[in-house]
Amino acid sequence: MTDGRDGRDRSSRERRGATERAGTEGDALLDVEDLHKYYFERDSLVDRLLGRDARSVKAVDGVDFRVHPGETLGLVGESGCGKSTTGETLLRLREATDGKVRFDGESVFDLSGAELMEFRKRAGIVFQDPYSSLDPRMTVGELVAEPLAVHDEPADAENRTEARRERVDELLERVGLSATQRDRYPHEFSGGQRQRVGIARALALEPDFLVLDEPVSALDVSVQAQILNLLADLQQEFGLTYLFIAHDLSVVRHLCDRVAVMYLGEIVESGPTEELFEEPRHPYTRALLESVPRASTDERDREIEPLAGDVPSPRHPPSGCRFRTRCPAVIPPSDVEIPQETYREVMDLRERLESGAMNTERARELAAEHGNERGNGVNTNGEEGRVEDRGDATTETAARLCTVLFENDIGGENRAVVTETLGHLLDGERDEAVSMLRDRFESVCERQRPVLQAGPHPAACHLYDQPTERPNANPAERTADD
Amino acid sequence: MISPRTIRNLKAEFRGSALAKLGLCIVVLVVAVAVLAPVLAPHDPTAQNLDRSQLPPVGFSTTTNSTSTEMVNGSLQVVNETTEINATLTYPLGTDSLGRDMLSRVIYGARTSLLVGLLGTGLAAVIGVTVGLVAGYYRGRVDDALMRSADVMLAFPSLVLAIALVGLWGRAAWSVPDPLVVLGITPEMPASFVLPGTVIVVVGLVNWVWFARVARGEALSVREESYIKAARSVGASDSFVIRKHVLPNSATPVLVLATIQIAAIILLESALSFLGFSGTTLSWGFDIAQGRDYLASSWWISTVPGVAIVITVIGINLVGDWLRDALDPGIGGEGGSGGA
Amino acid sequence: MPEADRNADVGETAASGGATAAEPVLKVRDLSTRFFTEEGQVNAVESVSFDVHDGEVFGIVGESGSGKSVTALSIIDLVESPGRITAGEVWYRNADLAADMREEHPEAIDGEYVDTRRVPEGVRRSLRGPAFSMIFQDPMSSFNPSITVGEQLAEAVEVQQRARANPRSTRSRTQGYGLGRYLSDWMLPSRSFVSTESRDRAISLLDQVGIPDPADRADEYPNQFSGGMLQRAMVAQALAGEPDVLIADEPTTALDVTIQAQILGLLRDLQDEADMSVITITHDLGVIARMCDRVGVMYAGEIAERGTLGDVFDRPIHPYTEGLLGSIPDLDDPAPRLQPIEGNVPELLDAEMGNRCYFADRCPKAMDECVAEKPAEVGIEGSDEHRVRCVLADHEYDPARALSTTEREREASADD
Repeated sequence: MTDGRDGRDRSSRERRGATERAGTEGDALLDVEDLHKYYFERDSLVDRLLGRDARSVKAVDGVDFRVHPGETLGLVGESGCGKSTTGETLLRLREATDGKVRFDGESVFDLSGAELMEFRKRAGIVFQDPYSSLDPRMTVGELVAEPLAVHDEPADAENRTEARRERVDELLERVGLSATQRDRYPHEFSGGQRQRVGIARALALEPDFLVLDEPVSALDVSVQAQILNLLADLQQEFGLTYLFIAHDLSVVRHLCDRVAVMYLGEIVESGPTEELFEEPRHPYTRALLESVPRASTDERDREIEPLAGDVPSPRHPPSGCRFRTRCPAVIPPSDVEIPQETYREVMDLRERLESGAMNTERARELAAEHGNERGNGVNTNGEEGRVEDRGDATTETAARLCTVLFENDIGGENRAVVTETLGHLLDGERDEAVSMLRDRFESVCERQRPVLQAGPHPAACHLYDQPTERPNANPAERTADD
Repeated sequence: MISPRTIRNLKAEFRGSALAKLGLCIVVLVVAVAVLAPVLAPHDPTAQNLDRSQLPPVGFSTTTNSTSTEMVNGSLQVVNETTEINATLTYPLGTDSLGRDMLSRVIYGARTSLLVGLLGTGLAAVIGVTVGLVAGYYRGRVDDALMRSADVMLAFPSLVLAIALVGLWGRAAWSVPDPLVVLGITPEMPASFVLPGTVIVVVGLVNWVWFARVARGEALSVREESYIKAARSVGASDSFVIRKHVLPNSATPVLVLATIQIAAIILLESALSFLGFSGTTLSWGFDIAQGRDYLASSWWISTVPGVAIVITVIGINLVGDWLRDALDPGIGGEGGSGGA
Repeated sequence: MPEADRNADVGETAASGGATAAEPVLKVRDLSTRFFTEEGQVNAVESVSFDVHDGEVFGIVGESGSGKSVTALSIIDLVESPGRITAGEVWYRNADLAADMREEHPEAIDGEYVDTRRVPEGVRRSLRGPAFSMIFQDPMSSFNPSITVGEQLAEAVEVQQRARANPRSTRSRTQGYGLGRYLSDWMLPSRSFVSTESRDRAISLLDQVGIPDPADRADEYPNQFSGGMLQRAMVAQALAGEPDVLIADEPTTALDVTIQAQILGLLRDLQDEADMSVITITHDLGVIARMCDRVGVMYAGEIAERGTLGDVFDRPIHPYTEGLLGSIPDLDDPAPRLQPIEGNVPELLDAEMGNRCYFADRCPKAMDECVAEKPAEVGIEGSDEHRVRCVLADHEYDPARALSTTEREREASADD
């Protein structure tokens, strides 16, 4: 990886750019700064005529990272976290909403004409699905030659067709196919062979940098290992720099030098692979690592605590820390003493209250159900009864509801607050219930969006060093409350 | 552009379907007739012979009642004379009111119909596919603008448009020299035949909307395939992507639509010539129109070209069905061959 | 749960069921399924045999095209044209059914076992639900998008109840749904045709699979559910008939890891509670390790190796099993380089499947005898369960007899 074409030479030649920012070690080949990509729904002509406002989906919401020459940065996350969108946006295959991407010191979003073509030559992509990423109506030879044709390469050759064919044959052989397969169509190949064709195509222009967008996740395990080895060999041979996008953590650990973990459009933690896997800091990273089933006989007895619930919609991401709705380590206010599991339950109740999943009607139903079970029927139905009962009966019902709703024992002052809240809820005063719970239990995690610290292994989590709390400290905060 | 699998599907579907075979036979026959018209036609289709007008087709005979006033024995008398006219093998399908050979006219009419069908469809396809692919590929405002204008076209009655354009340009009857005559193979036939220019343009303008819709739908789905992204990632321009990737991968349904459109355009051409907009006098539609006045006495003048239209249209539609069944990926796919 | 405990559990439940632990609930013998395609005959499943015991999880692991899903479909007789089950027996232990069938189909009965391949199709169909039920990979396409989840579950409950009331009748599925009902449904398409009891049962099933606010969620449509929630709903649907054997075909492949962990946890809990037997089909060795007691490794339509989890994962004999285990990067202990299996999965066309080991041309330890004759399945000493279809079970690898490269290429090109 130290041959003449190495991107490292080029970047050392133009030593400038992002060095002033903290946490830099050497120059980055790719520097992504505060990248945003929003999609807008309800944005058609009809919607405009009907006067509906466009709704934004925050696929990528303020992502910073850099990739150094010759290294592999892994971008990991679950489906819908924005990792693939990040990869495509930084290559300008999608238009960014905001942010900066510098490739070898030049701002990618400002390129045009010949400069853009030069960037296209130096930065390529390999896609996930080997079935849809090859045009079914072109032969493998045509597919691999297409980038050459687009760039009129090789420019200096006398017989261009002949030179191109030689180059195609060479590429096919390099990725482990045979040159005699040049005239076959993609459907005559297996998934692994198609992915080899995709890689040969991406290599055709001798790039410095490749985005590998889940290149092995559609493949069988035995073939997946072949492709991973091939990618590692090619990196060695051509001094390539990779941005490796994946959801499979074991593959990432195998291939990457550094890893960035994404959740709901943000990077929550990044660091050197070894360190991040051995000592994950962000609760999400920890949960992710714990969730992966290991292929070993001890796996059955490994205790895991899977994350509850689903990833929230990127249309309405939670305020503050996006992971707080599922986080097993969400931080209670400093003046409230409460066990962690109980606090999680309180926060879940708040979430359900605020989203409307828990409402007066539902609370009354629940109370009635469990009241009958115990055989002490309390009058909870009927508006008339309620006014007179206000007081003892409601409080009693609320107390019972409290035990129904909470698995863990909630004690002392917290219990009193929760019971009172439920009392309000049973009386139909939802807003008061909501604000009462918020007053007591509002977490720093929902007030402020955590940021990545400077340093080699930052985690965007309030458990770790964060800037002192200021309202709207983070400029990105304004985008999170619509 | 046509993959071996497509050809395999076509063959398999063809073998299994009697209707496909019938359709292909009809189409091949009609095309052959149209191409070799000067050789096949027994007479010059435009040669008039009033002595032999309104001869019936072989196997039929008609009687004509001619009433004449004759001087018989010094007084005028009305004489009713009934003459039986028998068919003759010289004119197997009879003659029209001017004594022109119906068989020759039907043979030559196939030329007009097919040429208008092909050229009209070609024009419609070029306009429609271009508009559709651009609309589908770019989506958004471009799509809105192009497809709304297509909707406006759709709302416009084709006959009204034809009348307007004929008024504007005249009939624009283009006279095309007949190669077989020019080469001296059949010197006795008409040296040129007339192509109804306005009709071709009109049918093109009326029918491109269908192509635009189909092409747009295809482009919308094809543009989401990763190979489009892959092409853009190496720097291919939009027009390159549309030409090299979107067009070939949208071609199949467009092809199926085109066969069906040829039949539709043949019908439209007949209707326009029937109404007298075409400018050519050698057309099935024109013959139907001119036979209309003689329906009571000489039914064949309208019927023979009418049957020709029906057979041709059915044949083309059968071929269209065959293509659709064979090329539709939803039918007869690869089939599950095991595993997860 | 430690091995000893688990065995004790199995013994206990089996005893209460009036059988001994040695008698499995399901015995699959020499099952073969073929697809008759344009390209030729495809041997998707080739003479597969295995047992499923009471209350255990049996795993089938393999790559795409190994025939693992077709095996599952063959067990519950859901193979569709152009596929057909061409041979084999599926013995299901059910004393009542055996007693019922003894008169009419004595050849299909063996003690308490019924060979579902030899009873009439109607009976086989009636077993879907109360005997076997299945969870599919893609929950989104397994639900009708235009009917609420609750109603679809309630329907499943009703079908099962009717089947239970009259288990041997083919008509049972449609009983009570006559012409009048059909017409009224047609005129009033929104009219619900499930009873309140079925609905309540549906809600309690949703509750059982851990869906919060089940009563509200029951009224939602499938597209309002997330993938994980929908997979839970599908598990609930499979539980409606209280099956003896639950077949889970790639139950978590479409899901993210954190959701996968939830679903695997759910399946394990349910299996413990209801004491079902589960057949898990997956390509993910991690899922197998987490879920299964015993496992079969499939390659090219055959079970190449089977045994307890320890037999297969810690003491593999078949080079394919070794290759699979060497192909996956270890999360906790990353190796510098993976050991992949070279080549690609064969296409299983009958014409290309000779009388030889199907793995020989990819096998790093292939010897001359591997292409001479198809190796038989042999038991391995030291374990009752461990069986391997490989010559290495019999004797050690001998480099002197290694399949020469030229020969291997000849074999490979013969495949093309």
